[in-house]
Amino acid sequence: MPNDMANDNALLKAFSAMHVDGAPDWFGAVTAAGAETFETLGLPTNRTEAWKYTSLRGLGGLAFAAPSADLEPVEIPRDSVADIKGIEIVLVNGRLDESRSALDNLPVGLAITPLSKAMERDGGAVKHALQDESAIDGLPLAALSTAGITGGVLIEVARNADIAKPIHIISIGTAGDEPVAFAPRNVVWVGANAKATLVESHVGVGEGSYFSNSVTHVTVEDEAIFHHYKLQNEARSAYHVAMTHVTCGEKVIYDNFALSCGSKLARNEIRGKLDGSEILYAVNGVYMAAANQHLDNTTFIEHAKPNSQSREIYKGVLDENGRGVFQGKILVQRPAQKTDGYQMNRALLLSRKAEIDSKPELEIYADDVKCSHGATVGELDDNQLFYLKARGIAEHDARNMLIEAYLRDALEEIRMDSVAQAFGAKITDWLAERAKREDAAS
Amino acid sequence: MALLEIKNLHASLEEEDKEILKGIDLVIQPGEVHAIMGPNGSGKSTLSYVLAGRDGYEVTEGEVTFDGKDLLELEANERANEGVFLAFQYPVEIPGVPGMTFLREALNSKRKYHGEEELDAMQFLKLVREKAKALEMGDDMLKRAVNVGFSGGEKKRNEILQMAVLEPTLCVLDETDSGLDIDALKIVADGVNALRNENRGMLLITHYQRLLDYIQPDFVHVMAAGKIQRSGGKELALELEEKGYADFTGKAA
Ligand SMILES: Nc1ncnc2c1ncn2[C@@H]1O[C@H](COP(=O)(O)OP(=O)(O)OP(=O)(O)O)[C@@H](O)[C@H]1O
Ligand SMILES: [Mg+2]
Repeated sequence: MPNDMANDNALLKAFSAMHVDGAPDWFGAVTAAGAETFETLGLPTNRTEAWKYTSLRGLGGLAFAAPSADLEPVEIPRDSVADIKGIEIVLVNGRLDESRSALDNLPVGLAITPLSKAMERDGGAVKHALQDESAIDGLPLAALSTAGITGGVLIEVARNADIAKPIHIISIGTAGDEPVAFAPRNVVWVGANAKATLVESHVGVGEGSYFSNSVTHVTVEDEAIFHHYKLQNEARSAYHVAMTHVTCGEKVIYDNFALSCGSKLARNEIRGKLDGSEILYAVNGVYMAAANQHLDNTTFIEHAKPNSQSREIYKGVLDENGRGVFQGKILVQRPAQKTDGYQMNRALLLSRKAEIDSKPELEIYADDVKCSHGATVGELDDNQLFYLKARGIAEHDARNMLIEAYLRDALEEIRMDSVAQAFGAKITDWLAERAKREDAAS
Repeated sequence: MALLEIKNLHASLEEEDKEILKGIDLVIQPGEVHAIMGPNGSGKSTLSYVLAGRDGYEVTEGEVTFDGKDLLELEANERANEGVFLAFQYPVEIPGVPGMTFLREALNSKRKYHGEEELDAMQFLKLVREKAKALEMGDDMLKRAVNVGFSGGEKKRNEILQMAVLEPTLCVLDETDSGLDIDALKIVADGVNALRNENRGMLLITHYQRLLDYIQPDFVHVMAAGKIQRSGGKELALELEEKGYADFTGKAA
C-alpha cells in the first residue's frame, strides 16, 4: 500500500516537527520510540481489529502541519466549554497557554506544572509515564502522539489532600486554511487517600480542520477518589483521538464520564488497569452524533487483583447519517477472583441512515467472577410517543422530550452536580440544534 | 350540533388487515354521558384509539365528526388540542420525563393552539396543586416522572388529573375504574362528575355497573364483535350485570 505509507510519513512528519522546549535527553528517546512504533504499526485501517469500525482514511487526505510556534490569539469559546467554576488550564493547539492557566496560588495539596518544567525535574511522575512502553505498545495513535508531544501539564494531588474545586483543562483547537495537528499530553498523579476532580473540555474555534491526538496518564494511588469528566465538543471539521491510561491502586474510586458531541470523527479510548482490590471503577458516557459525524468509544478494563468492581454504561443517540461505535473489553486476570464487571452500550437510532456498531468483549481467566455485558439498539417507543401526542404535544416536541429523558438519565452517573448540570446544558443545546434542523426541514 | 357523530365506522389493523370495528354508529350530544360495555376483545379500546388518532389503524369506511370537524383528518395532537381526551386503559410510563413538565407542555400546547398565552411554571404549579388536591394526590406524586412508580390505581387517578387540567370537551375514559379500590373509585368518580357540564360529552368504557352508580350515564351501549349491538338507558347496565353478554356474543357478527 504505497499510498498508506506516504500518508503515514506525512502524518509522522507533522507530529515529529514538534518539540518541547528545554526537554531533557531522555525525552528525545521517548519521542523516537513513539515514531518508531508508529512506523512499525502504521496508521490503522479497518483490517486492524481494534480499529475495525473506525477508519482514519480521512486523515490521510489532509496535509497536516504542526501548529505555529506562537500561541494563536483565540478567545476561550465559552459557549462550547463546560460551564463550571474550576481551576483552569488552557491549551491552544496542544500548547500550554501559561498566561491563562492557573499555575500559582493553587489550593494546598495541588500542584500544576507545565510539562516542560516537570521534565527537568527528572525522575518524577512525568518521566515514569512517558517512558512507559505499554502506553504505546500496539497503539498506533498513542505512538504517533508520543512522537510529537506538543505540551501539557503535570497535575499532582498530594496524599490526603481534598481538592474541592474541579481542575478544568480547556483544550482549544483552531486552524485556518491549512489543517493543523497537535498532541496534548497531560499527566495526573493522585496521591493516596486524596480526593480530586478533573474536567476536560475539548473545543474548537473557527471552521478550519485540525487533528487533536492526545494522551492522558492518570495514576490514582491507594484509597484515593478521582472523578474524571470529559466534554468532547470539538469543531465539526475536527478529528479527535484521545487515549486515557488509568492505573488504580487499592480501594480506589475512579469514575469517568465522557460526553461526546463534537468533531467529524472522534475516538475516546480509555484503558484502565485495576491494580488493586476493592476498587470501584466506572467509565460511562453519552454520545450524540448528527450528520457526517463518527463517534467511537473504546474501553479496555483489566482486572488484575481480586474483589474489584467495574461499571460501564454508554448511551448514544444517532441522528441523520451519524455513526456510533462502542468497543468494550473486560479482561479478568487469573488472580482477580470475585471480580464484578458490568458493561452496557445503549444506542437510540433517530434516522434510518444512522448506524451503530457495538462490540462488547469479555476475556476471563479467573473462575469465580460475575461479569455481564450487553448492547441494545432501539428507536423511540411508539406507546410513549402516542401518549404524549394524545395530550396535545406535537410529534417533534414529543420526540425531543423522549430523547432528552433518555440522555439525561445517563447523567445520573456523574457524581458531581455542577458537572452534571454543565453537561446537561450541552444535551439541551444539542436538542435545540436538532429542533432547528427539523423546523428548517419541515 | 352533535358533539361527536360516528357513522358506520369500520377500522382494521394496518399490519394484519384484520377488521376490528365493523360499522359503529354513535351520536353524543353536548352534556351527555354515554357508557359502552362489552366483552373482552370486542373493540372498545380500538374505538377509543381510533378516536384519539393512534397510528396503526386504517379506517376503511365511515366518518367521525367532532364539533363539526372531520376528526379523522387531524393528527393525534391536534385532536387533543381540539378537545378530545382519552384516559388510557393502560397509562404509559415515561421514565426521565417529569410529570409536571409533561403536563405543562400539554396544557401550553393547547393554549398555543388556541392562540392563548402560555402559563409559566409558577402559574401552572398553582393550577395543578389545586386540581390534584381534589383527587387527593400529593406533591410527591406530582414530582415523579410520568406514571413511573405509580400503582395501577394511582395511574388512573393521574389520568383524571390530566383531564381536569386540560379541560377537554370530549372525555373518553377507557376502563378508568379498573384497578381502583372502593375509596379511589369514589374519588375518581367525583373528579369526573365535577367535569360534567352542559357542553362536555363523555364516553365511559367499563366492565362494571358499579361505576355507573357513581357516574350516572344518559345512555348505555353494548358493544360486541366490533359493533354496537344494543343501546338503552341506565337499566341496560343492570340487565347486563344479571345476564352477561350471552345474548350478544352468540348471534353477533
Ligand atoms: N395491535 C393489535 N394486534 C393484534 N390484534 C389486536 C391489536 N389491537 C387490537 N387487537 C385485537 O382487536 C380486538 C379488539 O381489541 P380491543 O383492545 O379493542 O378490545 P376491548 O374491547 O378493549 O377489550 P378489553 O375489554 O379486554 O379491554 C381483540 O381481539 C384484540 O386482540
Ligand atoms: Mg380495552
